[in-house]
Amino acid sequence: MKLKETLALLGEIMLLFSISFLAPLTVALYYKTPISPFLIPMVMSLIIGGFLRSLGAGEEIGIREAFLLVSLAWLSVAILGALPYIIAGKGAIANPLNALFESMSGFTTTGATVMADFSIHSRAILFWRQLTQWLGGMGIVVLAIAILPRLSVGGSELMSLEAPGPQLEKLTPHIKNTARIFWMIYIGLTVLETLILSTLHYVGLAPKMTPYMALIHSFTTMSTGGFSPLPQSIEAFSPAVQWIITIFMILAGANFALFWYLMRKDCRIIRNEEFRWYIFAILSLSLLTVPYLKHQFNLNFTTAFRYSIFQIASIVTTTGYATMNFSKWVFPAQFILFFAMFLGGSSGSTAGSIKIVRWVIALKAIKRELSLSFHPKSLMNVKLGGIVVGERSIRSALAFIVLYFIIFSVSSLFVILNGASVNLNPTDAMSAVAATLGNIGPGIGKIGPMANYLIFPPQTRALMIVLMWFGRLEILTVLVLFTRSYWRW
Amino acid sequence: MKVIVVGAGRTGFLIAKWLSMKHEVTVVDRNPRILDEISYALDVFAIPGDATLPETLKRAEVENADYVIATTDNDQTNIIVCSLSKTLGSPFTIARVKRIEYLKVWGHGRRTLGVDLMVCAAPLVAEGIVRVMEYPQLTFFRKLHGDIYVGMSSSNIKTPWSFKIDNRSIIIATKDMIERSFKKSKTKKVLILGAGETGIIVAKMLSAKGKEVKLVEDDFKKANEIADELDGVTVIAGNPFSDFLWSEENLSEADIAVVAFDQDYKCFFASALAKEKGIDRVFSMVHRSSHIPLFEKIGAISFSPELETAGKITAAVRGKAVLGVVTRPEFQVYALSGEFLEGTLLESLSGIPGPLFREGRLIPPTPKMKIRKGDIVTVITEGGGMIL
Repeated sequence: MKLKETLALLGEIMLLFSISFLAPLTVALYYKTPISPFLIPMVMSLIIGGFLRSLGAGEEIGIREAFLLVSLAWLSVAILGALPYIIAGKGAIANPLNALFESMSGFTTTGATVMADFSIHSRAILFWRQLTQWLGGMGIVVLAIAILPRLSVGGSELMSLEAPGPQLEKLTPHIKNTARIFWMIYIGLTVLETLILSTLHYVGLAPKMTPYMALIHSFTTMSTGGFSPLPQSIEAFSPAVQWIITIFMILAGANFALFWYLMRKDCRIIRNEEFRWYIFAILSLSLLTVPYLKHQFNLNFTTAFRYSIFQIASIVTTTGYATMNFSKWVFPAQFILFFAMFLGGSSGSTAGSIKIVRWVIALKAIKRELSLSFHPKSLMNVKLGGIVVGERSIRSALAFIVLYFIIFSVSSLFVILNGASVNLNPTDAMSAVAATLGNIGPGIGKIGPMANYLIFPPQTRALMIVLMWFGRLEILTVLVLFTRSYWRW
Repeated sequence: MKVIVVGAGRTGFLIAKWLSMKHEVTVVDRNPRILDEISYALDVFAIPGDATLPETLKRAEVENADYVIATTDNDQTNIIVCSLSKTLGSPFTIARVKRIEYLKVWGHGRRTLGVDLMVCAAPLVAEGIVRVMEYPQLTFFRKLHGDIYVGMSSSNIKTPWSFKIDNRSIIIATKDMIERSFKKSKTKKVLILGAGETGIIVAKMLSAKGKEVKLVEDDFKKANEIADELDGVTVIAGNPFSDFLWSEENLSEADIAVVAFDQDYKCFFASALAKEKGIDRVFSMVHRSSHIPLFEKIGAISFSPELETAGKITAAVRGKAVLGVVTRPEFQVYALSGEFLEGTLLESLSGIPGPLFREGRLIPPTPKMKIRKGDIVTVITEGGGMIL
């Protein structure tokens, strides 16, 4: 175990991360609010990062150290990112546990909040909260690979540990360039969304969507994060804004590599099997929800569809925005959302949860098992988009789904038992676990989109911090650190 | 530049490693497991598949490639890959071959078989061995460019210019300077163990120089064929590790032993044995370049076909400014053409500046020296570092 080298690289990532405090610092200076909440963490990141970096001698790290580096990078970024909330000292998030919850929820693009009152916080703090999601969306390690030259060797390993989905698709020979392409597409789409939303504002279709609002909401749309400085989330904005955000949520949950091919005039996005299933899942679940909404709220089809596709897309892409308080929906409609929490977006996107591609592989593998039971001697391959999926990939997809549900059920048990005193409905508790592990944000019932996670006891909130961390790094990256053999020779 | 390397064996790996630092490298191999390893260890694009099929080369984007380097174990595959690449795109093609026969055909006319550069390790290694043999104080001696040579010595000798790395002096000088500084050896008897391609070429070259050469090969049939082919060389069919053979043939009287088996463990054992029998200078082939320190530990002077091939191939990719490269595991020496560096200061080059050659004269480097048009500049880099 090259511990020193790993810490040295962690130091480099921290040094890079310290730059990100400059953005809220500028906002604080502009609105003349205190700058210490950002200046102090920035200096701390610089000092700690600089110290850690001096530990290493510039050796390369191996595959084993990569797990530790990526896990620690996310943990330390969440801790440093929590400092502004603590130093600002306002509201529930001044408590260190809550601050870490909010910060972890931000970087992992979960969007679960422990903020009760939004009005007491300064603009800079709320800006930071949005920015954490944007930074976490494409990933800090991916950013580090794009910028730091030292991470080029072994970089693809690091990137695949962080990037959502079962495997990383290298787009160029140099991993640095692949990381840059991903970030450029991410930045490009964020800018595009900001421009479109601002345009809507200026043509009078979105009175509340000022360019500032457009920017900070684009941050959390493209990262599939779902934070909003407004307590009513996207309900506060006009239908035109809601449609645009729906489209960008769906884009953010798609594989970014497909956009790159599209830019090179390669239209494989249309033939891509995961993308087709992803769109199919969103559309079918939305249509399934429409009748319930029509009946319950007495809406016409278009309005009901706008509401249903927004909430479904928000949950499937693990964003967590809402245009209506879906915890008031009739139970069957809420349960469709609960089901959707386990789907997840596409691999290579910014979405969380299980991911469509794993479900497709798992279902095809199960179909093959069924065929094998009555054609015992036949040879059958599982194919995805015409290409044979290796047995190892099938095994790891199945194992991931099983592991996901084991963690989900064990954590649910803990949350329900630990929540006995606060009189928690079991489905609400389970939705909270699914929403944090899947990096979604809001659950159903008592922890709906307009509520917050303060109702849970502190132990449960601590568990949820861990679940968000596990969920963002797709469980295995962090979980291996808790096995004995990892630390042995 | 975009480079496609076909074949991820040891040589392919080394080439991909050196080139990936500066260029965009795509590695193609049939074995997905090897590709897994390579894509972890190196920053390259890995494509599984048979590169003799147009489909695979198209996936590697051969139409945009600047270089295609075919370095699989199979000569025919390498040649087909090159011709196919020429058909599908217009890259500069490099093929590694094992059999000299192909090299001879290629030598007849430029670009035969669609191969722009054909590299064969055996003659490169053989030349290296024969050249070092002449200078007993040198453990390494290689042509860098034109009349300029790079030598390495473990003892301290007065030369116009030398540089120390790990207790060893690296000498960069013209050939006649080296001839003046070092005594030529009076080697007469040379023992060659193992009749691989390299062993045969060395035997031929030495017997042409009038040395007394004995070649030991344990495969009787092979020994017989070689005996027919080589005149003036005593070919002995027998077990090279047998004490009886050593005493019967007086093998320990040799001045120099050249070990040229196909496997490293055999080479290592034979080198140790030759040392033990009292032969002072032992030259050995080392197939896996990471084994070189092991051979040096027992005092054998190592020659690596892998490094020779990879060095020669990467030098071809490095562009016009590089006139020649000499590659060792611990350092590399470059010869750069002054035409492309006119006006630059020596200190601004990355790497350790070596002597400058101006109108055939050697000028020791000083940091503030300005490069002129006709100069040949030498630069040393330690480790696997690359300057261009």
